[in-house]
Amino acid sequence: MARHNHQHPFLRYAMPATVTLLFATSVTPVRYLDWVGWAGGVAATVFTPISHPMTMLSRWLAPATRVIQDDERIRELQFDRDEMRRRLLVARARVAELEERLAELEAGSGRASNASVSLLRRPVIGASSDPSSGLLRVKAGRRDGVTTNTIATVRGVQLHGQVVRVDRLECVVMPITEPESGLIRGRVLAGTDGVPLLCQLAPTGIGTLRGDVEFRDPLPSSTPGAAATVEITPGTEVVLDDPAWPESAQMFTIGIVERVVPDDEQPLRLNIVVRPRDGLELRRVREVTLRVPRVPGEDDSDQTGGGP
Amino acid sequence: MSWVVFLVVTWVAFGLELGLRDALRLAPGDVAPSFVIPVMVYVALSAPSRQVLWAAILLGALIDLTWMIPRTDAAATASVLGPYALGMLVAAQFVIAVRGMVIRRHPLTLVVLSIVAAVIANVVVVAFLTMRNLYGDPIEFSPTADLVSRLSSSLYTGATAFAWALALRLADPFFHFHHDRGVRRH
Repeated sequence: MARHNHQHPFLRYAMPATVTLLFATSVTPVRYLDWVGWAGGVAATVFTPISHPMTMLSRWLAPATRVIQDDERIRELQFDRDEMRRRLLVARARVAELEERLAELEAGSGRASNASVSLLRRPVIGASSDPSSGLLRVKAGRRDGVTTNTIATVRGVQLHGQVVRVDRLECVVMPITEPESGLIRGRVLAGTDGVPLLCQLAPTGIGTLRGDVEFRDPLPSSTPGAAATVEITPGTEVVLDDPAWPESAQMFTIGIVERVVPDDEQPLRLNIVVRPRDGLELRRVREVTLRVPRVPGEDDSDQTGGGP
Repeated sequence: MSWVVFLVVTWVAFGLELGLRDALRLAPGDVAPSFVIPVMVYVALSAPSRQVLWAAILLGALIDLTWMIPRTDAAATASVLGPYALGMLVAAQFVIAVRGMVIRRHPLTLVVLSIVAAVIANVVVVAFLTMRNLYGDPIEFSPTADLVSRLSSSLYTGATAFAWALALRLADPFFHFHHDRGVRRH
């Protein structure tokens, strides 16, 4: 005991003071703790040299999908095909929108639908230390032009998620399958030319999304048997059609319909379960492609970017 | 205890925690083992109490700092400093209290104590998150489901603790614990 009495006051009170401080920050509302995020970014940067190779090992041990990819050339052609199809869908949606809002566009208030993007293909270098969080840390940051809400895709046109935090060298991406990412509106490509079949999907927390299909004009939801006139089968593709998301994300693939479940409470509606293409587990991807909006004045001739 | 060796082991443990943990996740769900808690238990079994407590706070604070919590009110992440730091502190205190009754070098000691320490730390974390839930912090959190998955993760931590028990046996001489052992423990 005598030894403790001769301790420097700083040492004597350091532990109780630290505990008190930690208790205070533990109960402080998160809106006052932005500085902790900055410190967390610094800590993550320190661990990146070791977490990155471990992440690569992790993705090798447990890949995001068991579907084996074809050789590079075929894969590139498939990506090009998917991208062209996506652009076609965007163009169709744009035409429909232009028809509806011609007057508004003439007044000069149209959206900047042709905002081009640069593609950054970057590795995932780590995850959260707590398993309850499925956020991923990606090796691209402010210096690469990444901003909050930048879109991340994977394997061509599969939508992965959205950037939710950006540091100088790294950013954090929230996959669309995480419960916190919220509702997302999609379009079911059920072979009904010109008839947008929209659906509101919510992440289930187990790598899928689930929600009701809404039938709009010319199949109003009030029409009895509307659901029966359009066949949605497992394997049908669902793409993003959500005005809350950036223009550059529209018509990217949310996933493939895995199951169609009748809604017991609303018999005329269909409930679908959607899983990312090739059974991808978005938490386990090795790398993502970030679609970084171009700064006005930059060269627009990038063969991989361009387009909404 | 050699703090340099401790920091190197901490660095490796966090590399495993942030990189490899997802590969060991039991799908579907959030059940995954911890690589950091066994390190804390290992240190707590041998080092002087004061050093153990500081080491636990450091490890816990680093978990807090690298914990990216998704916010529900905006497309952003939240970070909270404290829950894990205090949870690890309580867990370390528990290990200090029982370490006189266990066989320190036996691998199963690290396994069992890591499971118990993980349970203690996670209960503290859930308590703080529940408290935050009461005043409406924008964090998606379900106390019961979270507690169940965390307790399952604690059990799973026993597996990584066994691996650590074998690996840390090789690193044992570098920690210089033998210089720090208190007389009372023998």
